[in-house]
Amino acid sequence: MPAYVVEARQVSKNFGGVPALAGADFSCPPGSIVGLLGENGSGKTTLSRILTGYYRPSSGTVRYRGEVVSFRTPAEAARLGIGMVHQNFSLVPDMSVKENIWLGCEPLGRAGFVNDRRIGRELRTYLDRLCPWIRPEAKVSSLSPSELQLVEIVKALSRDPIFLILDEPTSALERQQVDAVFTLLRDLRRSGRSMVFISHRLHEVEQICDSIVVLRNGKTAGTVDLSGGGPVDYDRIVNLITGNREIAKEVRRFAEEERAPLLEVQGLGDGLRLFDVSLRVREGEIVGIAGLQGQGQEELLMALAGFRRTVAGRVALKGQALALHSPRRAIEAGMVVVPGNRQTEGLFMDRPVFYNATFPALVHRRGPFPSSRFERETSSRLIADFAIKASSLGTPVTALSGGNAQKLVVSKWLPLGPKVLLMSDPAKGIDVQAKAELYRIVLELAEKGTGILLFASDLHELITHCDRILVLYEGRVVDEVPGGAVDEEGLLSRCLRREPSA
Amino acid sequence: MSALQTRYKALSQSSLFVPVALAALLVVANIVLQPSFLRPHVIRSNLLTFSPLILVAMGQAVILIGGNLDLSMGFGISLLNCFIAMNMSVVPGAMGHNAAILGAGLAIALGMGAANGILVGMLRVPSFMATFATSFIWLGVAIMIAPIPGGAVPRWFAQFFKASFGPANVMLLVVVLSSLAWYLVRRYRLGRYIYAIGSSWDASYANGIPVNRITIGSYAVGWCFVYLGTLALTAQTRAGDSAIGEPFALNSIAAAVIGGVSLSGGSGSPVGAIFGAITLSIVMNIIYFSGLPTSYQVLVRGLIIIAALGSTIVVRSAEARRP
Amino acid sequence: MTPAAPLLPYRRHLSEYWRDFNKEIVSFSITILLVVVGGLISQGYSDIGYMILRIKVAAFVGIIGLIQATVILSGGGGIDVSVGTMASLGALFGAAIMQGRDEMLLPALLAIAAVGFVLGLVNGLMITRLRIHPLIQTLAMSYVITGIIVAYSQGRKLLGRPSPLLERLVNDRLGPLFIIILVWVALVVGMEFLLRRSRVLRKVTAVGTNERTALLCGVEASSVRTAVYAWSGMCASLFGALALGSVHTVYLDVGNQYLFPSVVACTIGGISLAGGSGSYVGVLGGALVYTFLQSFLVTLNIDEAWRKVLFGLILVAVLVAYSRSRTAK
Repeated sequence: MPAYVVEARQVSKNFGGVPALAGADFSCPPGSIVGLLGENGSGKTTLSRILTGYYRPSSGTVRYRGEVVSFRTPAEAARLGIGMVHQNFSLVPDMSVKENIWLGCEPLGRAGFVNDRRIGRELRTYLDRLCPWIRPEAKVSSLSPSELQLVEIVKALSRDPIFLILDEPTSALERQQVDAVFTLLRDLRRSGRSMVFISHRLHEVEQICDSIVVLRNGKTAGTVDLSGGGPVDYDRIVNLITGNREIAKEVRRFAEEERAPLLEVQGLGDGLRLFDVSLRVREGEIVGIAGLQGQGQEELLMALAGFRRTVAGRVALKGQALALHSPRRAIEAGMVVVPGNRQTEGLFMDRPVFYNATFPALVHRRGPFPSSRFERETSSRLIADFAIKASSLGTPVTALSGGNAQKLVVSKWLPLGPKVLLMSDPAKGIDVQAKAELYRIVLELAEKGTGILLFASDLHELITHCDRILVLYEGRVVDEVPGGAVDEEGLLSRCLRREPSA
Repeated sequence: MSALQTRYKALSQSSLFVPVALAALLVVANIVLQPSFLRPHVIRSNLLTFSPLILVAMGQAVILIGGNLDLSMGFGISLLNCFIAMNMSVVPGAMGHNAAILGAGLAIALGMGAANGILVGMLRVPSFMATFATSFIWLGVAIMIAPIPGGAVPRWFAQFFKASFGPANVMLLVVVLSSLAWYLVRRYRLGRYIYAIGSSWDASYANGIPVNRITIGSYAVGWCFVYLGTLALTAQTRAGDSAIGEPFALNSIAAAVIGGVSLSGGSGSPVGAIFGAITLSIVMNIIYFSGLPTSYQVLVRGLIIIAALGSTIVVRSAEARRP
Repeated sequence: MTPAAPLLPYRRHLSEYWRDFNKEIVSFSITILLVVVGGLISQGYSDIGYMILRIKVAAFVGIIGLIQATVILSGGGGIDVSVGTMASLGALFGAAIMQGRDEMLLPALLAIAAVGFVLGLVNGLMITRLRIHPLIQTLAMSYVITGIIVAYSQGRKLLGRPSPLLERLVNDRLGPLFIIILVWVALVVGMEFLLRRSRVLRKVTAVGTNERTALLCGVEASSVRTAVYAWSGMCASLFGALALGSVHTVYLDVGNQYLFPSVVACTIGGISLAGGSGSYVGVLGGALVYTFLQSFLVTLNIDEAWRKVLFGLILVAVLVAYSRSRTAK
């Protein structure tokens, strides 16, 4: 009997020259639950995709039950009993829960029919334990996000996996549902199965995991054994995650004098993910929004941008009340948004650089349509100022690297001279160089008086660049920290709603 | 909620509710305007007239459910109709030959479906354009087979669907059996996967479903229905005409949509398309018997169709928005 | 103020020109190829006079193609299958108002435009507010328009005649070329210019490329698309008047024959059915290929049936090639 169900040694994975994993080690003994932690971009998702057969490693070995394996498709891994609870749901909207759970591997009866009755029986076990109120006949499109997540979990468990990876399985769940899931996972552990629990929620990880593996920058930063009982050393864990970096030299010093208020938000709520949010952004101020994943940060920015319906609250820009009906109103008032997903919301992917760079400027300017010269000048200036690597204006945006494309998403607004810039995790997933250049421009904008409301999943970014940081938890502002007065561990602790250590 | 309310809720949420209700409404209107509607021979005659569209609409529905469409059905019908009429022999004792022709016809229908399916499923050409293009091919072949309308079918073939019992005839049986056949397909993985790929291609692919093969399968199944519809049509026209199929392409889509099949795929049922086709066909009856001056009949037909389409979609989006 | 940055070119390498203009290049090349090969096969095929006659036919396909292209560009499954019947309606009403008199030309055009605009607006509203798929809505509208045509024309012996001015516009020559050809080219140039240099068409292509991004930039898809369908209805009706000028007696479905060619011209010309990409020059090329291909097949003395089959096969080949080039990126 091998010591480990899964063992990954020195696994690396490159995507077009950018290393997502750089020699990571990971092992999981049978009958145990291992937590996998790390910041965004640390390689957690890449590692789990390699273990489940979606990706092939660029180097390193993966052993499954003692044998070296190299999966060509996820189906191969699935056949060996490896399962995964996905973050991006793999459910078909128009089909029922019952049909979805067995999609792709339906049990067959005599004469090759799909054996609906058997599906019904086997299904009930997990469904009853996790979400008994969900009817198996219910259409997936009618489920709430938390119900979707539970169904994903039921789906993965129904395949009877030997090794199961759960990627953020509780991000949409409420407390009782999480407890139900954990009870199930403990039962599985008792029967000898192994699980990997990927999460940002330290308190949950502490509850369920036997040990923790921390990834940082694509490598294994360390492991922590939780099975011995006794108090958990949070500081050590947070330390491993953040790496105790030196705070960059460029910490913003906010001028002490009172600046004019630019954006005032009172009691904003949408009844679903945001509740009673009030905040203020002054001229030239960079206000950060921190929090664990899915606490309402993105929803807040989208609501302010006019993209998301709100049910309560008042917003004023430079003293003028602003109705958040549509993005057009917000833009005309001077509040623009850099959305979280540049490919689906930030750019016109198949269009050229000049098209994207000049679109807001051309659409919102008054007067006759500007000449071709204006288009070339504006585009060329943005490309030069932002150091966007594009040799000609007609290059389609799909040809740009992530960092350059993201610079375009931000810079396209500048010719309009916006008053407030809402930024939803602008530096996510782009390389260090581009990140620095991006924030340089942000800081310049702030110097010129633009107000910036910035959400970043990387707490380090917030600490380095923001004058003030608000902490969101379950859709409410629960804390506020002045810039420069907190370090990463302290901020993380506040996000986790734990008392920071002295 | 009382038991009755739960029942009603389930019923009203079924995708068949609106098409059946709409068809029922129109049948009632028809009866009011034409009291003889309920006479057995009128019912039988209507069954015969409506059935080609009913069956073709069922075929279109299958393809629509898979997230695609097929504009070439119209001229495909022309091709099959000409093939059958020009090749069948009216000489007595030619049973074997005729059976072979009918079998060959089915093979040709499946071939056309497969061709479309390969273009759409494997070569990834958008179905609108792909089937638009193949429709020319089918029309050309149809004209080759029957440059001018002609041909003939043996008497037994023409009488086959008309064979009656009570108010019904064999044609009704064919439609009923087709529906049962669909329920059979539905119980196999093929049927299930057609819904899956129509609802979400990406999720289906992620679950390991062979999306290309299922697409081809959806076209093959659809064209089986189309072939049946062509047989019904040919039995009545008793001749081959390359122009006969033209209205079926777009009419079958309209009938399927009125029947609750979503153009984006993944929902609805060919059985709903039956009622959609009935609705579409009865509208003409109603207009005729309403005594409207002939000059306005086509216009009113168009307006009723818009109303029917609009109501189907409005009801569906109201359902979707309900919490 | 930052110092002036160096002006970058739109395209630098030859490969970029190919990337941006391949559909236009391919369609013009195919047209030239057809002319050359046709001339080799049949003596009179490349005769300039015949070519100009063919280009005259292509002009009609091309103009209706411009209208269809704009609808397709607006995305959201955009297509207008009612353009054929709109044109027929426009021709019918136009003839009735004109009654062969020049002074009634302008009122006729205004009336046609108004009717088409209103019907197109209905299309646009049903599509954007009620979320009816454009194929279905415009199909239903074509049924209604057919009904209007039948209702209007029944029992009328005299359906009217086009005004002589209109007939001259369509049939007269300026030098060796027909005026209608010049009108077509002018329209293509004008619309291509607007495509690159106008706010309106930039919004249309934006909405066709990505609705969400457009919305976040303040451009709402529903208002843009409603306007596009209203415009399309108006222009298709006016096109009917043009079609009227090319026939001397009015018949009821003079415009219906243009629906299919409009779609073919757009497809060959590289207008992507998904919306957002394509150019009007491409549609011009598509119209040329369509027309020249048809006449080429006639020249080969291929009978009608084979012509259709070959046409279908060639269209399939073009589609597969385009689909390949997309996935190859």
